[in-house]
Amino acid sequence: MDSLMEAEEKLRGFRETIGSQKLYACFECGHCSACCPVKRIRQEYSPRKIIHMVLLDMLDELISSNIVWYCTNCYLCQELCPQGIRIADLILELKNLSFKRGLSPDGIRRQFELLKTQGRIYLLDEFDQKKRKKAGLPQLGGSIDDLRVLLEG
Amino acid sequence: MADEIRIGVFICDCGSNIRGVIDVPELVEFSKTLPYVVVSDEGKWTCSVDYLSRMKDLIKEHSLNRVVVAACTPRTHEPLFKRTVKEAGLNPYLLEFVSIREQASWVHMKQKEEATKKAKDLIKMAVSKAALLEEGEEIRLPVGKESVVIGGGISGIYSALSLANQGFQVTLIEREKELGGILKRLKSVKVDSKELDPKEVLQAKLNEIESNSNIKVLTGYEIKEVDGYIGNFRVKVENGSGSEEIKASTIVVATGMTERKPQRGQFLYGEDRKVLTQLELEQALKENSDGFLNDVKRVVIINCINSRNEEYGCCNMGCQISLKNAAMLKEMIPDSEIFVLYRDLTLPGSEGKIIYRLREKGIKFIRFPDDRYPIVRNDNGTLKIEVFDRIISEALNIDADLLVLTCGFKGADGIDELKGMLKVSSNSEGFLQEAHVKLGPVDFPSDGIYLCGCSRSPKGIKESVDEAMAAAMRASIPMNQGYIEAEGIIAKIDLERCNSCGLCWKRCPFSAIKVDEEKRPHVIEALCKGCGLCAADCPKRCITIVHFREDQIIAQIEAALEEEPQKKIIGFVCHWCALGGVDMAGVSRLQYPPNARLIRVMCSARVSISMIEKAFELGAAGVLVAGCEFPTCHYISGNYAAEKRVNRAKKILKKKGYDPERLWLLWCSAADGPKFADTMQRMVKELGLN
Repeated sequence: MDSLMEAEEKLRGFRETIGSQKLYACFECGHCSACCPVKRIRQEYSPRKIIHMVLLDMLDELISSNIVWYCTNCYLCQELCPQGIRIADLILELKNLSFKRGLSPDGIRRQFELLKTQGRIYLLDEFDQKKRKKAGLPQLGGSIDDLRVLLEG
Repeated sequence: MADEIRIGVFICDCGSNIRGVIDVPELVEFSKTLPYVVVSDEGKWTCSVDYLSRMKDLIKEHSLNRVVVAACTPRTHEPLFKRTVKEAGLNPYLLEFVSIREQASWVHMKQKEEATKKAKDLIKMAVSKAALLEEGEEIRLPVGKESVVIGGGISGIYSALSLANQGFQVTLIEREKELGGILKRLKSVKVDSKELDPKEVLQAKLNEIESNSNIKVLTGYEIKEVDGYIGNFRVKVENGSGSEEIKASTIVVATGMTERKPQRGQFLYGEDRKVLTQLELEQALKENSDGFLNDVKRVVIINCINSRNEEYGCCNMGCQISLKNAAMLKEMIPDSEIFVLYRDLTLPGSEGKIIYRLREKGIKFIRFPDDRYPIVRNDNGTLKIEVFDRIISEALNIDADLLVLTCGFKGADGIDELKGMLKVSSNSEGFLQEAHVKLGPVDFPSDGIYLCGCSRSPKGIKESVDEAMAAAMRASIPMNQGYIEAEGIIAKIDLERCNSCGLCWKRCPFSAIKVDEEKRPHVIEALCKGCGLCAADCPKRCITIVHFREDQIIAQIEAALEEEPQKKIIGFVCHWCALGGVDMAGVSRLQYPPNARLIRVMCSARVSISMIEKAFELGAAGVLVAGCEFPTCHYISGNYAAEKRVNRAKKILKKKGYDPERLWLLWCSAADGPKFADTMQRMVKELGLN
């Protein structure tokens, strides 16, 4: 698969790309973990830990666990990092690699399938359509050809 | 002195500093009533040039032979008045200086009457001591132009060169076969993040030594004996084939340090040849013996080995050494993986930025908890290191080809014998102790001996060189002058009454008392510092201390307790720290009850049990003995001796029916005014004096 190789290549060079964005500048202050809304309910999740593991070349361990998928991409850590490290971007890259290696959680995979076939990540049913009608909103559905072009392109 | 005693009392207003609180004219009238006082005078600023000349005139006009100055503190102004008295043709030891500003007007600002009363007492005490004063003499010792430098590392080399370049004759003694010390064993050194080649640095200096005819180098020699004092040291050295005696006026100690190696088996040290200390690594790299780095692909460095625990503090250098060597290894083996396992990284100055560069190069840093050091195992020939990563909160396993341990340091081997010979002290790690961290950082308490470099504490090449130059400059001062003048406050032994018990000889912290074949002691005046420890301990009371004689101090006690003794506290304060604390309390205007009458002694060790007893006999409410804070003492161990003696005194007091709880001890640094003021408050309260 082309895309997998591409992603791995990207991550192999990850230390360098992120490096130029000062990943090595992390001084482990823990601001990212302290402000993270996910960490408040998921103790095992910590952006600081993720940076540290990338610095220690522990990518395999990182992506084979589901830990990176806890990130909600709120970007709070990235906004607040005193060293200007692109933490959320880093985690997004890790998610991509995890998915392409087939290591992402089942739910994610199912969402991907839905996106591919229906163009959305939730299943649409009668109930939703009825509620939309009641609220005066247009009905959803129809062709997803445009989307498919986007996804494959 | 058989002449009639004629005392002049000079009281200072210090502008309004004293006059604003104390009724100085009343003091003048009062002092005229005291025995032997011929003249009493008030001066607005007694330390001004105008008044000093008036003082000289008055001394001559009234043919005074004793002078009492009541003003600020002897710690700042005594030398000035001593000089003035000398200029007036009097012996400077006939001056008694009493502090009525720091001890009265500044600290009892709201109790004007009490402050005046206290000032009266202080003047009365000074006058009664003054009547007993006798002439003293400054001792002048010749100092030659030869110096011995012990230790041929970079500090010793710089010291020797600095001294030799100033024209002094230097003997540089090194016990190893070659000069160079630790520097010789290093692969690389860093100064301000710049890499230097130790070989080049050393060779340049060795060439300078070779071409300098003032330096004689003795390598392969051990120090066997050191005897004498400033201007007159004899250093006996020995190598395998014979011995030699060197005469010197000053000694610079630059004995360096050595690595505090792990115990055998700790982290497999000594059992696996792939486990080395940092210094061993440098040496191996320098020699590159049997392709030492072949097949090394993964290196683990563990910091803080046997440091920062209950026994030892931070080793001072380990963090910088570990980073320097990590960078060096990465450069030598670019495709290697290097781990630095640490507890904390302390990187002063520009060193702090290095860590980012190292991380960029791919060096990996793992922080482990203080109480969970990495575990090292040998698994079929592979070194396996298990380290608990604080951030991941899990133990990680690393296979290593090389394990480097960052150890702390201790004083050079044999430092205990050497410090005995030099009569200097060291801390528990074998690092030599300077006289004072700020006031005499490269001096020892004994004159003529100086220290520098890693013998004092672990440090880098830059600081070592700085200290080496400093020590050389300190040593050059007496050698340039050609003599030193020692204060005339020294011990004198009355051999008529001495029973040759030998106690003084054993107790003297400066080894200034020697005994002859008949066990009769005599004082080496050049070595005696006048602390008075021997005099206070002498069972026959046959030792006197010039200017601090027993009868002089007793006279002060008697004068202080003439009126209302039950309200008064007799305080003995050492000149250096405790009086400094008193002055600091004064300068800070800390207010405390005016019950204390302070008597200055050079060291708390001067206070004998009989003085304490005398105070209680005369009905004093309490007695305070105050000295320097441990472990500092200007007389090496005077405060320790004082503590022991006070404890003994308590037992004696109890037997004699006095309450031993009325005898207090205070250890107070010269900056600790609040501590003194607070002690006064507490003492007055607990003795029920308010």
